[in-house]
Amino acid sequence: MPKGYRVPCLQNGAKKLYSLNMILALTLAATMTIQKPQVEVGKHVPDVSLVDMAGNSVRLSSFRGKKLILFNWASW
Amino acid sequence: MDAGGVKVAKPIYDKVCATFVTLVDPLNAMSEAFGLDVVPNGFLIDEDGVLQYKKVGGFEVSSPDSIKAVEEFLARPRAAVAQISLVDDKTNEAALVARLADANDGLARLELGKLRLRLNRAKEAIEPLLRAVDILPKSSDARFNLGSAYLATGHKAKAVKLFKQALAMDRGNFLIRKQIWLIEHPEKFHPTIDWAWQREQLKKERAEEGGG
Repeated sequence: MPKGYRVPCLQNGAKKLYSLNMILALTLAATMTIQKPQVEVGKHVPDVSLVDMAGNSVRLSSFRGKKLILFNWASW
Repeated sequence: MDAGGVKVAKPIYDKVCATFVTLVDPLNAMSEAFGLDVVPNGFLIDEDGVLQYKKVGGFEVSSPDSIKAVEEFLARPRAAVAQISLVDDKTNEAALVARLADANDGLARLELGKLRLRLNRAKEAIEPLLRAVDILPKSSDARFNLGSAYLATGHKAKAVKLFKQALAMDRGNFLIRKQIWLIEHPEKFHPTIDWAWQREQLKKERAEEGGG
């Protein structure tokens, strides 16, 4: 049955149980250069700075050392 | 909505009583770095920053496949974590500014513009981004970011013009297309999202774009 990582409400547990960080990276807009990069399983992901709810910059690399579930979505 | 991501995200974040980290990407940093032109997407990244699973487009948090992937991921032993050295924003900016000595370094100008945008210094981002667009005429990313800088400084018409140029270089990019819709038709997105309108609008735009 559902573990703590299910959305919308993350109930207790998940982080404690798994040292887990879950990120919802809300993409409001995006674009590419001509040659689109591709992330590949088995390779390091690029380090990206995003913005938290308080307006601070947060880097993906700051979650190193923990398993990371990254859910990338948009409101529309 | 405008490109001020937190404004849109915060009410949703509060409503769903989120206790996880929620980040916004108003400057398309992640989509650009990961090569994404659709959402929703799911990524499982191990302790060392190595991608272990990806689902690009159509990722459903509660689907059986996603749950299975997450459970297997969490059950794996810890990955060894290599040391990495991080460069802080200030150091990074200084390095990019130093690269401006090369009048043809478009990427340095693009990165500098993005950095200043992220640090809420949109005014200072415009000049390097204008030059980046000149030097990198085929870069949809440069135009998008210059548009974002204009939007953040209140120049909506200029912003939309640049977003449309960026879209023309990257027609399949729904994230740019929807950004334009959000600016030009905010009533279709708030208080509720008009999906029927989006389908019609897309059909209309596709017809206008024709073979191009």
